[in-house]
Amino acid sequence: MKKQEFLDELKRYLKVLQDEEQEDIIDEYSQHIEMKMANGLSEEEAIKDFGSIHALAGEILEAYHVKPEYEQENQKKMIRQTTCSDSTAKEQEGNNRLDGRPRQVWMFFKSVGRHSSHLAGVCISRMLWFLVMPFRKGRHLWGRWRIKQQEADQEAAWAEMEENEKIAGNAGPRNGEEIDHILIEEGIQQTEGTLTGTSGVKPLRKAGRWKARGEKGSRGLPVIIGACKQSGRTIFRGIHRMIHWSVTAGLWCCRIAWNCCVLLASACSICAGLVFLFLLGTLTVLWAQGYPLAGIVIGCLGAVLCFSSLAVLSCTFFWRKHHE
Amino acid sequence: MNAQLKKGVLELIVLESVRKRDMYGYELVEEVSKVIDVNEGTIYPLLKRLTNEHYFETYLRESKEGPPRKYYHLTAAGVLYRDALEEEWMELQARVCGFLMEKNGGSDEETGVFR
Repeated sequence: MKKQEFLDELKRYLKVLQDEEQEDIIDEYSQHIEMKMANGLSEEEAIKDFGSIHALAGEILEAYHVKPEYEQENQKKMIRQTTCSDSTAKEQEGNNRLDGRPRQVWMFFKSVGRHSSHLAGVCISRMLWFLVMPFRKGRHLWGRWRIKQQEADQEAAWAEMEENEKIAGNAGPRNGEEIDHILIEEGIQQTEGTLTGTSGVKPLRKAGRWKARGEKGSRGLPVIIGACKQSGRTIFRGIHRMIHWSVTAGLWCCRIAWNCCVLLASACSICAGLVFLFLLGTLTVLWAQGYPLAGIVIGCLGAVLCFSSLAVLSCTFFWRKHHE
Repeated sequence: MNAQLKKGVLELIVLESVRKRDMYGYELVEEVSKVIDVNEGTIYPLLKRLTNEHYFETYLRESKEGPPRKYYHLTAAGVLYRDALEEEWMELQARVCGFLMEKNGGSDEETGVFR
C-alpha cells in the first residue's frame, strides 16, 4: 500500500471528527512515514508497521471518546447509499446545501435587520421626543395664553360697553347673555324688515349700530378717563405677561441646560466605565495566564463599579416636570 | 510481551519520556520502542488523548530536515498524573512481586526446594 492510499483510507475512517483534527492526525502520520523512509525503509515497510488501519482508526476514535462502531456503521451506510443511488444522493445533498444555507443566512440577517431597525426607531423617537418636548409644551402654553387673551379682551369689551351704557344713562346690557338677547331680537326685527323689504342691513351691522349709538351718547371727559383706565390696565397686563413669560422661558432654558449637563456627565461616566470594563477583561485574561496583575484587576473592577454607579446617579439628577 | 500489559504501562513510559525534554512524535515512538515493542500507530492516539486531557501541550518548531515538527511538552497536570501513575505502578509491582514470591516460596517449601 502506498502512503497516499493509507492516508486516504485512514481519513475515510476519521470522517466523524472535525476537519482540523483529521488534518492534524493525517499530518502526523504522514510525517512519521516520511521520517521512516528517510531512515532507509521503503514506503510499504513504513506503512506495514502501523498494522491494520481499521484497528488504528478504532484507537484514534477511542482517544476522542467516539465509538469506533459508530464509524463502522456510518461507513456501511455510506457504501450502501453509494451503491444504490450514488448520483441521486449527491444531487440531493448539493441541493440541500444550496437551499438550506442561503436560507438560514437570509433568515438570520432578516431577523437581525428587523430587530436593529426596531431598536433604532425606538431610539430616534425617544431622542426626538426629548428634543421636541419643550416646544410642544411651549405650544400648549401659547394656546392657553391665546385663549386667556381672548377672554380678557371679551371681558374688557363687556366692561367698556357697560361703562358706556352707564354714562349714557341707558340701562344697557349687564352681561353677555343680555347682549346676545338684544342681538337676537334685533336680528329678528331685521329679518322681519328684510322680509317686508324695508331694510337690507345685516343683524351684526345693526348690533354695531347699537354700539355706535351708545358711543354717540357717551362723549366727554368720563369717556376719556375710562379709556385711559382701560389702556393702563391693558399695558399693565401686557407687562405682567411679558415678565411671566420671560421667567418661564428662563426656567426652560435653565432646565434644558441642566439636562444637557447631566446627560453629558452620564455619557462620560458610561464611556469611562466601558473603557475600564474592557481593561478589566483584558487584564483578567492576562492575570489568568499567570501575570502578576491582581492589584490592577481589582482596581479596574473598582473603577467599573464606581463609574457605573456615577452614571446611574447622574441619571437621577434629570430635571423633570412633575405632573400633579 | 502481553498486549494488555503493554497497554497498561505505555502511558507511564510516554509521560516519563517527555518529562525530561520535549519530543516530537517520531522521536517519542523510537524512545518508547527502546523499552517495549509496541505498534507505532498506537502511540499517536495515546498522545492525542493525553493532549486532549491537558497532560500535554503541543507546539510547532522548525526543522532543518523537513516541515515543522509538532513537539509535545508535559504540563503541570501531566507531571502530577505521571507521579500518580508511577506510585500506582510501584504499588502494583510490589504487590505482584510479593504475591509471586510468596506463592513461589510456599510451593518451594512444600516441595522442599530452597532458593
